[in-house]
Parts: sequence; structure tokens; C-alpha cells
Amino acid sequence: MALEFSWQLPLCSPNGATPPGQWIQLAQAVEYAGLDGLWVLAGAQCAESLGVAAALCAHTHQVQLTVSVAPQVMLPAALFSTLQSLQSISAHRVRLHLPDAEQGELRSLFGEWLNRDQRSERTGEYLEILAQLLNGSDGGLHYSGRYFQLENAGFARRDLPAPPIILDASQSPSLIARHADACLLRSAPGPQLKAQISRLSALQRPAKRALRFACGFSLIQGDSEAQAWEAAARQLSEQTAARLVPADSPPRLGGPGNPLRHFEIAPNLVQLGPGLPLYLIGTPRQLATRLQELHGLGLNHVVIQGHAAVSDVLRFGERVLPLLAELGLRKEAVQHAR
Amino acid sequence: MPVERRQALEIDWFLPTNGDGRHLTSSGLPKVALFQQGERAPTLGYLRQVVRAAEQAGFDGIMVPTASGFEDPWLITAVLAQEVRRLRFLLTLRPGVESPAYSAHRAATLQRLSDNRLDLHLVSGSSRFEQRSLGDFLEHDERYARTAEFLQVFQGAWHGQTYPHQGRYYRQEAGGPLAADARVPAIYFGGASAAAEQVGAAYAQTYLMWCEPPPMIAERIQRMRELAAAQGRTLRFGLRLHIFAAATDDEAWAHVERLLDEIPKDAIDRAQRQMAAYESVGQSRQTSLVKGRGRRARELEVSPNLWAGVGLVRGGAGTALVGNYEHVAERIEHYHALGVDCFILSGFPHLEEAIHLGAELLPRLRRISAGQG
Repeated sequence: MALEFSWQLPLCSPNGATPPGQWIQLAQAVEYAGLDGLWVLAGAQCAESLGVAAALCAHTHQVQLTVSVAPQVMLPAALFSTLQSLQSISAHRVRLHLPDAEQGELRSLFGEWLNRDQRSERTGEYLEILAQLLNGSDGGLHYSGRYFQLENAGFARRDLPAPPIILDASQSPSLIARHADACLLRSAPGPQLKAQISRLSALQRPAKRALRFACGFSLIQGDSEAQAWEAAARQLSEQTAARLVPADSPPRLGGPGNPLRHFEIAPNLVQLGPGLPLYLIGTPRQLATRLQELHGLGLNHVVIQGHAAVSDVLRFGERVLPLLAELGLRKEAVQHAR
Repeated sequence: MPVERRQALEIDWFLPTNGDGRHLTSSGLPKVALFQQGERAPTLGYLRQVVRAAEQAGFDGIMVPTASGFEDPWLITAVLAQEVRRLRFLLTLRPGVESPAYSAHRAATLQRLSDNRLDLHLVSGSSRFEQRSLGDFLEHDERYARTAEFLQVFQGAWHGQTYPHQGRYYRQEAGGPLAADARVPAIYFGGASAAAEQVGAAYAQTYLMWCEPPPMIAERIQRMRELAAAQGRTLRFGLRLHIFAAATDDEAWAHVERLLDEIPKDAIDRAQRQMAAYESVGQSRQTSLVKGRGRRARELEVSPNLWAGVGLVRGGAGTALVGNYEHVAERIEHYHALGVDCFILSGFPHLEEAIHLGAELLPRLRRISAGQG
């Protein structure tokens, strides 16, 4: 099966004020460079994800639009009708990522005030309602739960395909088994990724297709290995300096010279600390090899994160994707989308 | 930097996001399960033409509605704001279905995307059936109390607040401003009940009404001015109505007579039954206009050139100005003299009529506007 690539959008900044022109241009580059999708992040410092996804429908035609929406922000029946509309506007290109409410800033951000068990229970009801509405049934849905009530929900449902649902691997296994089409893994080196994939693949999934797996990586490439590591060192200098303390020296592969190599936890793979982003650093050939290995672990979908410029997108499309195609990891020969 | 220059008279158009057509029953507002989809599906390919026509015609803005089965107003606005450069988008939102801080976040994104052309139209409720299908079980007066709190939290999230909000319907952490560099959307607000009037007086910039005969509108304006003054505020007023205008009065009336003839036999009774279920004072005021009247076009003229025939089969705005261009412009001028500064117009179909009215009616209205400096 092919390895799929989405580029993460939009560019976020502390005051949330990245000009729309920038992320529109990046999205156009992603489509042109032959990647499979855009991953539209949710977060207070980013432009609002559903609005971004809709705006990009005016500028893209093929890429999948994975839109991340925190389930705290609107009622499930409202999200359902929004998703129907986005499916319609995008010509069926939508996937939905519902981030785990326990993660990061989301919990406090949008006015959540339940305890952990309650949040999990609420998420369960939310997913149940959403799945029933998206997959459609005759007549309206009646629902009476602890957190949500509905009468005749979805009575104006249109016959549109349900977007695939992506849940975080940190979400409860029963919810993943029941509702997820794909799972976003926690950033970790290969062996831990493999462990996550084995654990989740073992879940009993009545009447569901096999789970697919996605994970985020930043890619930093150079014509030569040295150039790639220099570029990475420039990009990560501040974070590296902040984390480089003498005590912090378990066995690493890094050599002398570039301080970043101190954090090389596997060939071409850098992580500055547990749970922090993963960086793949190297030549196009090295990156293709590492991506092939990730695919071998059972990963289906790489979400390319972090520093993003049009030049990075095009270089990836022109130098790495063709190598992956040679390795048989792409659906068809990569060429510039028209 | 262009200087903000709001014209005395704001004339907006309407985006038919659940389909459009030539008949009274093929486009527009709630018609749940009564009629099939409009003759023209609300595809992007169609809606972007309507938006472009409205901009070319010289409308100031366009109202983007919301209801079950309509395209999502936030999404449609995100796409279509990029299509035009000047037209403002009056986006309809329901406070009951999403968190106010999230609405503020969405609005801030649209302000960036549209270069500050977003304003908001708050609708607190529709039919009980539709409210409950979305998971909103609050009763009528409570919905307005919630709208008031929604607007407090929305403003707090937008400008930043130093203490957390702990209210009856929402809780919100303290936090910095969301969008210091974006314009706060103006709040347009509709609702004719006593509870709605209190909230409108306290929070709206523009108080919207479905069009009624001038004495009824004058009375509401006076009452709302008093309510607002009691809170140390002033209000703008807006009317939502349809237009059937032609070169001569006879042509215009013959046109609406034809529209009545096309309505399926049982549609009026079904529609009236459905509207009776709305918990809406504004709706019952519209419905009362047609009570006891005949079913010929001129029998439904409830004040000069004001025709209540649309309300026979459609919920929401049920009245239209019918007549030649001069007469329609004069009626609008009359409402303007009563204190109405904003008119949100529809015509069927919305694409051709935006072009038609842009050529024939808007120049006359702009003369009125200019005449008052």
C-alpha cells in the first residue's frame, strides 16, 4: 500500500496573524508538488481550521483536506452539518481529525469545565452521535445521553460520503476501535511507533476496515548530508541550545561538530526530547530510505510539519517523491498536478 | 489606507444557500419538508455568481443565512469573500450550537481572509423542531438570555479578558486578545418578542425586523429607541424584505399574481400550519398580516406597495415591495425617514435580480442616500 503525505497548515504564530495569502500559496504548492493532502491544524494561535479548509477549496482541486476540530467547540449535530457542507464545497475531499481533549492547550482553551472521566464520556457520546449522523439512517436521530440530547437530528441530511475519522492514539482504545478510520500516533522513534501500531492493530473492530496510521514529522533536506545538518542546525539552534546540558547524554549516534547530532536518536532522526517533534534530516535519498522504513513499520500517512516554505514543498515533491515512486511507495508516478 | 465611509443607507443582498429559483417556493428561507430543493442547487459555481453580481450591482453587503440543509455560512463566507473585494458579508449565526470563544476565533479568521468585511447576524432561535434537531432544548426566553451571555463572552474573547467568565450558559478562561489587529464584527440582531427586544437594546448595533406596514415599524422603532436609551445606547434599524419591481406597476403586480398561481394547491395550508408551530413573535406578526385576506395578489397588499403574499408559503421574511421602480424606491425612502438605515433585499432568482435591481433600483436609492448627505 502506498505511503501518503499531507503537509500541515496553516502557519501558526503567537498572535495568530499569518497572512492568508501565505497559507493559500503553500497549499497551492502542495497540490502542485504532487502531495496527497493538507492537514489543517486546530489551535488558538492558528487561523481557525474549518475556515481555512473552506478557503482552500477555492484554490485546490485534488488534495485531501484533513481538518482538525476540537469536539469542545460545537455541538455534534452542528459539526455534522458543517462537515456535510464542507464535503459538498470540497467535492468530497474532507477527513476529520478530532484531537484528544486531554492534549495540550485544547482543554482550557474553549471553555471546557469537566473532569477527566467526564470528558472521556462526553467524547464517547459525541463520536457516537457524529458517526450515526454521518453514516446516515432513515429518519431523524433521537438521542438522549448525559451530555447531549437530540430529536430528529440530521433530518435535512444530504447523501454525501462520510469523511474518514482520525483520532489520536492517546484516545481511549474502545473509542478508537469503534469510531476511528485512522489513528494519529504520538511522535516517537521507530520501535515505539511500531509498538503503538501493534497495540492499536490488535483492537477488535467489528465491521470496520483495518486502522490506518499517521504520524507527524518535520523534514529537513540538503543536497549533501552536511548541508542538511547545517540547515537543521540553523533552524533548530535555539531549541538545541536550550536543551543541550551535559547531563543529558544517553548513548547517541551523533558525532562531534554539529551539536544537533547529539539528539540523533536513530539514523537521520532527531528528537530534542520525549514527545517533541521528530525531524528527519538528510539527503533526498536518505529521507526516502527512512520513509520506506517507516512504511515498513506499518505507517500509512506522514504528516509533514513544522517549518514550511514553498521551496521546501517543491523540493520534497521534486526530489523525494520520485525516489519513493521508484521504491513502489506511491500510487502512480509523481508528476506536477495540473 | 481607505477611510471608512459608511453610507447613510445600507443596501444589502441575500445569498440563497439552500438553492434558488424563480418561484416563491423554490428558494430562500425555512421550508423544511415542504418543497423540494430549489431549481438551482446552491453550488459554489452558482453562489459565486450571486456574490459577484451583488458586488457589481453596488450592494453594500450580502446576508448569508443559516438553517438546516443550508450550506454552512462560515464555510461559504470563507470561500466567497475571496471572490469579491468590496462586498461585506453579514453572516448569520446561532449562539446555541457553538462556543462564543470559538465563534470569535472563526470570526477573526474570516476578518483576516476578507480584509475586515465580516459582520454578524445573531439568530437566537427558529422552530422548536429545528432547535432540538441540533441539540438545543432551551425554551424561548432562555435562548435570548443565552444570546446576551454569548455576546458578552464573544467580546471578552475578542478583546482579551483578565478574569475567567463563569456564567449561566458558558464558562471561559481568561486570555489575551484573539485578534487585536482585526475589526470587531458589527452585531446585527433580530427578534420581536419582549425578551428579544431587551437583548437587542442592550447588545445590537443594528436591530433587524422583517418588513411590516410603516405604522407597525414606526411603533417598534420608537419602543426600541426607548429601551436602548434606558441603557444609554443608540440603535440602527434594518429591514429584511423581498422586492418585485418592474418598469410599470401593472407589470410588477401581474408578476406576483403569476407567482401565486404557480403555488401548489395544498402548499399554503401546509406552510401556514408549519409556521404556526414557530415560537416566534416576529413570525406570528408576519403571519397575522395575511389572516382573513383573499388570495389574489392585490388582496394581499397590506399597505401601499407592501405585499404579504410571500408569507403565505414561506417562513421568515414574508413581505415584499411590489411596484414600479420609482414607487418601490419611494417606499424605501419612507422607511428610511422613519429611521431605517439598512435594507436587506431578496429577489427571485437572486442572480438575475441582483443585476436587474442593481441597474434599476439601486441608482434611485443612492440618490436618496446622497440627498441626505
